Amino acid sequence: MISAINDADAIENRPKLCIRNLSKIYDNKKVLDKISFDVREGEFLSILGPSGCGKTTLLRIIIGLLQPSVGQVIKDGKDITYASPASRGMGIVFQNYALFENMTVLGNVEYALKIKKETKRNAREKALQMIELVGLSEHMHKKPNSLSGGQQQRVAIARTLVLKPDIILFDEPMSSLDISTRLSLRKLIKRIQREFGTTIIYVTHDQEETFSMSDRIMVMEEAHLTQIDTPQNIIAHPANAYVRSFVLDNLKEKISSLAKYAGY
Amino acid sequence: MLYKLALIVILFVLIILPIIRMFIFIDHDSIVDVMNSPLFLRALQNSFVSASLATIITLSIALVLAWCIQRTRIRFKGIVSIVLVLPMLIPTISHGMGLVILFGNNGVLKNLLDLDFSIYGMWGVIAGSVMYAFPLAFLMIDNVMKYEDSSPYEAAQVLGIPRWRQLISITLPYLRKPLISIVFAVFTWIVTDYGVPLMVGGKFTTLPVLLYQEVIGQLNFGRGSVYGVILLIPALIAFVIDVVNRDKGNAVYVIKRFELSKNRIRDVFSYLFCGLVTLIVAMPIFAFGLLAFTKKYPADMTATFNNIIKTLNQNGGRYFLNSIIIATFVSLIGVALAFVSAYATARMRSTVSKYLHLIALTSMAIPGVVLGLSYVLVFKGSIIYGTIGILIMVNLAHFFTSPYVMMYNSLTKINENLEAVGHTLGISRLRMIKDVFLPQSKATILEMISYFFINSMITISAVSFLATTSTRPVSLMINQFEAQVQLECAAVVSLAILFVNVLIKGTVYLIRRYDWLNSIHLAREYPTER
Repeated sequence: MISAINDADAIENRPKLCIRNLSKIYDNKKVLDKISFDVREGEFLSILGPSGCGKTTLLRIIIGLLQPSVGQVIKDGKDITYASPASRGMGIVFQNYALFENMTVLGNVEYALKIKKETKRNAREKALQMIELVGLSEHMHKKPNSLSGGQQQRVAIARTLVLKPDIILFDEPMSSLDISTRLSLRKLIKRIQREFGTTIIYVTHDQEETFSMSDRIMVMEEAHLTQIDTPQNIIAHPANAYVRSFVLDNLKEKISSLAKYAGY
Repeated sequence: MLYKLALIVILFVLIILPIIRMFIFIDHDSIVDVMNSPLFLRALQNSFVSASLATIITLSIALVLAWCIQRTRIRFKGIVSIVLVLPMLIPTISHGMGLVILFGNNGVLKNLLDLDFSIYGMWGVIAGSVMYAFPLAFLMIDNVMKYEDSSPYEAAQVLGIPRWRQLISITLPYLRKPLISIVFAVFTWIVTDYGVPLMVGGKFTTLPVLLYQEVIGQLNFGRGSVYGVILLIPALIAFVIDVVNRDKGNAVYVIKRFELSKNRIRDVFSYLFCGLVTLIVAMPIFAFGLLAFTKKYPADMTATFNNIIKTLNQNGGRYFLNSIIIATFVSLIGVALAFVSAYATARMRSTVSKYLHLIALTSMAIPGVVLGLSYVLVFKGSIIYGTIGILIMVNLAHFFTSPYVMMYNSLTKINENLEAVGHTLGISRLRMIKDVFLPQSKATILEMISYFFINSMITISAVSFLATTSTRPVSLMINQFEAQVQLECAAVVSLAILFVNVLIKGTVYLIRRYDWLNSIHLAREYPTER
């Protein structure tokens, strides 16, 4: 058990998030098997794996919507394994946006602030700031059902940002969006990472996405952590045959067929 | 968890406990007694035969009507739809009364067209049953046909398959499953009805009427309970059929709506049929009007409000108020209870939720007369017996399932991650319900209020066992007035009930159509902007 360390230097180098020996068993099935890894502050970590490998379960345990069977989640040196989701200083963005359909964009973004007893003016100001950041100022009085998928996802992002979380989790946020929307959303997320120094944990099954956005990639296979490293290192030294085939071969195939079309 | 258990207890006491009590009440002697009783066997046969015939006729009319609305190009479809709602806004006994007014011994049409037959008896019961059942059957079939995919028909057309073959190989298979459910639902509804046979049955006794006579007339609770259990059987079968028939989830989600071709002959037939149906539906109501507002039809045709005064003089106003009070409380408490239950089963899923869901569904299976009888058995002697409270309770139990299912379906459609969002943003469940779930359920809540209110206004089955002279709802006066040969007062009562129900239905429609609720909400949020 890692307790709070007082040495200033150690605090500076302390990882933002430590996952220790995390296991989860559902109906006699091992969904997560002894997962351990660290996340550095301000880093963009992708969790890559096929459907059913446990990455969404891992995400839900990190944010506290689920409890592990064994193991710990430690943030800034404090054990938060059983802390409530709202007290962890984390935000989450879902694949199907999960917006409040009966409120406008503005309503969605400022709602959590109003609940937390911010003054009306403060709440509105902060909400307007975030709406402008995600580029939806001219749509702020619209309801979600008159927005496109990409716009709705921006609202979801603004909604978490407004509470100033230091870690944002993304659960396959782009799966239902087209390529050009994905590209502009990628830019937005990277911008948030840069400007606010937010730590990003990004779950996906899309190899191309992880390689273009991540500082490090964590490859998962059937409840196990197979490899966690920078994209370059994964390409240079894939840990096993699985990483090679799932990650690299698929990627190579995509690139080579594109290259052929482009005449290279 | 505690909250779910509390709900289960409440619903159990309202719905299941009385039925269990009724079962326990039955003793061996009563069963033998009943099985050997010729009166019972006759009533059983009568019920079965008349309900079967009525169901067949109802389904036929409803099918053709649904075809007219969904598959032909006629105008005034809106008007037909509106007129077809009216029969569902008056008590079933009023339909029987309408027949008596038109075809009874002094019947309007009987004299006009010089007909020679008696409306009383099996065919009267069948006619009356068809009158109130076919609008509902129509609605159910209409809903199925509205969402039918036209693509297979287009494919068949291109392949050169003739129209009659298309009917057999595409339409019938598509309609088969929903129709089976609808047939059993309609049959159950008709066979357990008490109002029409009471009014036009004459010597033709059906089981629900026999139950009423034995219990209220002769205080024979033992035999009554046996009848009660038997009347549960059709609903049970309908329920089982429904479960077995459940959509396995292979539904096509993107359908192509029908583009209707031009066909003069087809449309002429459609106009005629719809016109005829509209006429048949409107006639009784028109007859009510005639009777209610003339001195003595057909002898003295001067317009008058005297009949209304006559009705009021016999406590009509007081009983009308009772009905309104009961309907209002049932709506308010019912919507709250149904919402809370549906939230527990749709958004807080667990094994306990499944039991809650099951109990909520059983209320639909219990006919009104059976519920009334079992409430007498359980609550007689308690403080709530003989008050308006027990009438509210029994109506809640009687009409619970539909509104519950409406809300359940509505809540299920809402994004499954919303609870997680509330959790991570630090918003409590109650706040989420108030600010997110309730606003998104507004339309459903309005329909639920409408359902509870209208059904409470028109019901006579359960309440006839539990009403006293002070708590009586106005619907129970209709039978009384007919017995006193004061049909004009019965007509006044029917029209009064119709009027209130039309008001409710109309208000709900306008609120939804013009989105009044939303406009109020928006105006509050942006008082000076924009």
